[in-house]
Amino acid sequence: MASTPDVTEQHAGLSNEQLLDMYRQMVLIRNFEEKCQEGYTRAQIGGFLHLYVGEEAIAVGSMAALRPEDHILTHYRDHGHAIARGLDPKALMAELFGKATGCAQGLGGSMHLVDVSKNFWGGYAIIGAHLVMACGMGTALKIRGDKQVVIVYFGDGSTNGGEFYEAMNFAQLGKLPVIFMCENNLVAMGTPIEIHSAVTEIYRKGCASDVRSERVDGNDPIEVYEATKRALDYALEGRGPSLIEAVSYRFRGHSAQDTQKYRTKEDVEKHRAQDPIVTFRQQLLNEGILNEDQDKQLLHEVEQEVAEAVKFADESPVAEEKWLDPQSAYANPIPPQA
Amino acid sequence: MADITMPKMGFDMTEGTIVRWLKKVGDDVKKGDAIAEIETDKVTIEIEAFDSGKLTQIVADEGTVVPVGTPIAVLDGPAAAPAGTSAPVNGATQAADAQPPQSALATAESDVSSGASKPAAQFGDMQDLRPGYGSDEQPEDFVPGAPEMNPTGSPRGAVGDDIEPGNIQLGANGPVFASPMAKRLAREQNLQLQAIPGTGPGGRIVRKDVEAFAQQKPTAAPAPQAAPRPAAQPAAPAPSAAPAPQPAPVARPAAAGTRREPLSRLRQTIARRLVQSKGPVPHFYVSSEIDMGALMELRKQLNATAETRITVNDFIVKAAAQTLKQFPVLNASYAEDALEYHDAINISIAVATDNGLLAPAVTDADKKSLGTLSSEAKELIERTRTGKATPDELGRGTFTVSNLGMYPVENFVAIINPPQAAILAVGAVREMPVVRDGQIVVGQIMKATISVDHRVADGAVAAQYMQALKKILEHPMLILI
Amino acid sequence: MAIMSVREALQSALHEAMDDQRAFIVGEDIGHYGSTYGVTAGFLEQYGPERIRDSPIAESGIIGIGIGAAMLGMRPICEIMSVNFSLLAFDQIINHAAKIHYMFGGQINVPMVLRTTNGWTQLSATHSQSFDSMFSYVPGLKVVAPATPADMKALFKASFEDPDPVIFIEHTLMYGVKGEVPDEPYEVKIGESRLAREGKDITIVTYSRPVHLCMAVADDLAKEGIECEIIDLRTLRPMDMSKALESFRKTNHALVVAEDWETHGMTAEISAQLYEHGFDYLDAPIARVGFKEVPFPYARNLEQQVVVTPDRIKAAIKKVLA
Repeated sequence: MASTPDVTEQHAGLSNEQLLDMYRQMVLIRNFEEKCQEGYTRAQIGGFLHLYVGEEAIAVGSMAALRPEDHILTHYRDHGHAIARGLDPKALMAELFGKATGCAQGLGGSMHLVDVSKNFWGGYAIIGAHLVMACGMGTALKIRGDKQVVIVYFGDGSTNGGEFYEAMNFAQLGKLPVIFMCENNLVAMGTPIEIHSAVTEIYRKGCASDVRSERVDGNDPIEVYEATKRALDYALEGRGPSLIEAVSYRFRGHSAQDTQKYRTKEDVEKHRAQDPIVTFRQQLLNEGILNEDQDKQLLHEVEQEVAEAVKFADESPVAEEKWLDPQSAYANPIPPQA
Repeated sequence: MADITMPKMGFDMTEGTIVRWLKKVGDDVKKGDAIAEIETDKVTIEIEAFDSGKLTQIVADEGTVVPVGTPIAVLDGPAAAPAGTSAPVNGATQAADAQPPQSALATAESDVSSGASKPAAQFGDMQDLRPGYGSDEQPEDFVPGAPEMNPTGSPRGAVGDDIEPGNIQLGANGPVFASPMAKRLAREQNLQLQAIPGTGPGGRIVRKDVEAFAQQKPTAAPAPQAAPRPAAQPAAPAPSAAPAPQPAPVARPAAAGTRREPLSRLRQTIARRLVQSKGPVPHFYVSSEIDMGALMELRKQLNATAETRITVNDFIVKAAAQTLKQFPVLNASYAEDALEYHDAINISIAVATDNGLLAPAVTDADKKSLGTLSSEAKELIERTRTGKATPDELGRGTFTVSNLGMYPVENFVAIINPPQAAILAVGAVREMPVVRDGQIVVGQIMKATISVDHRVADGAVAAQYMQALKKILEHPMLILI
Repeated sequence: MAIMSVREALQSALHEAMDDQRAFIVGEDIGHYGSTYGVTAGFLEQYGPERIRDSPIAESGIIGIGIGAAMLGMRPICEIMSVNFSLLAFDQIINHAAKIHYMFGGQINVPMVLRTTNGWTQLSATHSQSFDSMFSYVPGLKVVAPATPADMKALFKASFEDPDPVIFIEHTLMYGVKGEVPDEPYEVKIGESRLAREGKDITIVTYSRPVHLCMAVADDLAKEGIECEIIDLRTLRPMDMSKALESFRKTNHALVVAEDWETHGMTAEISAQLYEHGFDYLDAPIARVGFKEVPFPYARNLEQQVVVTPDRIKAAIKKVLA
């Protein structure tokens, strides 16, 4: 190549190492979830299994903009966010396997991944509930004057319930440092967006509380990164919340048992052509940031890492029975007297 | 549409267990068809439909215990009883109740000559088949549909929603309602709930009733195994001369190496009846030695020629019955304000079954010839051992002979079987030196002891009875004439 | 000893709590309006709008604010003006406040207090309920329902300092009730009941406002020679039945009184525990007095017969002792 492109400027200030790391995270998430699906069919994983396949760019792009001191709340489709935040895949897989070594000691499962040491405050499984909790975190930060933000992930389906509007109102009233990251995958469980929402451009819903809102391509990690960075700076300036709508597509069903009657195979294939990992990889190859050998090596390492996570989960002891003690539901147990 | 109710299969039956349904819902039932097997305290018996129709509902499942008169199934069809006749259950009840309310007792079949006696039908003591004896209750005929009375005379139906299974204790005469606290206190003080008047709602025995009773009747000494009383309880009543009632069993976990087997219904009945006897009935005992030499010789001769083999016990039963004719007071019952003298002399015979002691009675033992009595007794014992004795046969005795003669038992005393007034306990016939015509010879001696309800008769009568009995047994030709 | 009303005792407790810089209060009409029941009157002026946060009428949001802030180490005090409105926040309370500690393997605490009120006065069906049993049903919550000014103050302090979510139940008809409150610091622990009155004939187990009704009835009956022993549970979860059972073993008779619908609720649970642990001491069926089982009627004559009254308590005692 005659000239080396100025990647720093081209990629919103992200270095090649950062870009490669983002690509690696996306591959890791995809690979991890393929093993989740496998574990689910083998009944090593129970309950619900909601896969993030196709939406990896949102978690990876947005997390790249956050700092360690920032706080994360997410929804039940949380594997991608956890991995992008750097949670240990071993502890995550062990949680899915219901083991004592899981990130929530086997009490939460797929929908409730957590690691407080990384300010990853957990996955929540009641649609919309964590949006107001994010306002509570924002309130704490605001009262204390901490220069931190809260980012809360949710789907397009969450924006029709009352708590979305309550949260936007609370956040804007209090100028709370909250980033509302809507992952619009165009379907609410099994109902396409045209059927579940009168306004299909979710960012437009921010106007109800006059919240700063924008819409980005959720399949482009760099675009998501940039939007998140803007919202972060806005919040740190004390100007309040932002709503980001990142449009993407969920390649798999709502959960592992979804028959996907609500969409055609052709639709899915059409979107697969825009698979964010394929696109990003090609971009990195085209730009000379990644070569085929590196890619093979990277894929190999990721597969190794996931295999180790599965092995760890498989070999770990089952969840401890101390959690059957009614007092284990309390931080300060007070046994009832009889 | 007609309810099929738990029939009363004996005058003392208060409840029965559904063992097995022989018909199922939807079956057509013809009058007289056996529809279910039920178990009473004593027998397992088939009950028959009194109407034809379709069985539309089974109310009481197998294994449930159902009070007499309570619906157990519903029959749909031309169910109405013919005009002028009583309802089906009534009919059955009346048949059973027509029998004199007498009790069955144990008996013994003794055969000293054959040392290898059957372990089966030979033992003493008794089992009362009549409820209410020993309590303040008058036995009453069960009338289906009429409210059953609890011990204080309140109609049971009036208790209404206060009836709770936990408060129902099967008393001598149907359920005794007592609060758990009252039961606990009674247990601790060895008081019988049946004897305590209840003043709580619906006649329930409550704490203050037990406390009042304990104060007013300081008769019961605490049994050693009684649970320790909380300090707040009043001091134990002073012991008196009256016999201490049997302490109620206190459930406790079995120790290691101990097997716990729940009481069968029969064993429960035996336990209950014996406590009811030994507690309130003042027993006294009179013993005699009887030289059985002549009788043993006579029996040998008879058995050499007779078709049926006559047992020693047959002789004793016959002699006891014959003697009773002279002492009607020993063929009677104590009934609080009266003595009831029974016309018939029905002698109960004990039969050991796999489940426990049963006591069918031979009727009119005084009137029957020895041969008839012997064959009837034999047949009765056989049917009892195979579970086929009827409630009536088990409930009609008026006096009991209890014989442990097939064991090396020299002498024993038996507990009276209420409401009977006396029981005769006989031991083995043993070779012993006796003085006969001034010479010491080898005699065949049997010791016999009569236990008598002192409320009914006094010592002299018992002594005279034993004298007469001794005379007959020592001159056995008197039995044959 | 100072004589204080329940309102004053609570104010005192809340001021003490606000000394902790982690504390803030969020609720409807608590600031600018001056507080519906007057408890937080003057607080806005004293502590400012960041810590006395007037909330929109959005109950789910109020509790969500509390949960999120508590997770980050604050000590939020959420006020739901009437417990009837808490239904809008039940997802936050039951699915989240109660679950977060356990569901995440003990990593996160939710040290928040939810103050709310029971009560009725011709407010009809949707504004006159109590959900004591519904809160108490949920593992992960603690539920406190004091009756006296002294207990209000001390138990609020205990609730505020507790690392778990506490539902603190007040009563609109009790704010004016007066009583002695010690001047010096004192402590009442969550999960400890109180012997409110000694007696030998019957044990009355109750809590919150009915404690006062039962005390009055007991005074009345003492003239007839009936001595009632009254146990004030104070905390509904964890529930301390030790004093109630100790009393029941003495009296062998019990009445359970609660402002809660009569079946399936608090009286059912309390009775069940008395039966379960006191069976051998039972001398009569346990009676209970609660709300008559209809939605609350508006008309005064009807409402008076739905609620717990001294007459109903007295009749129930007589029935138990019959």
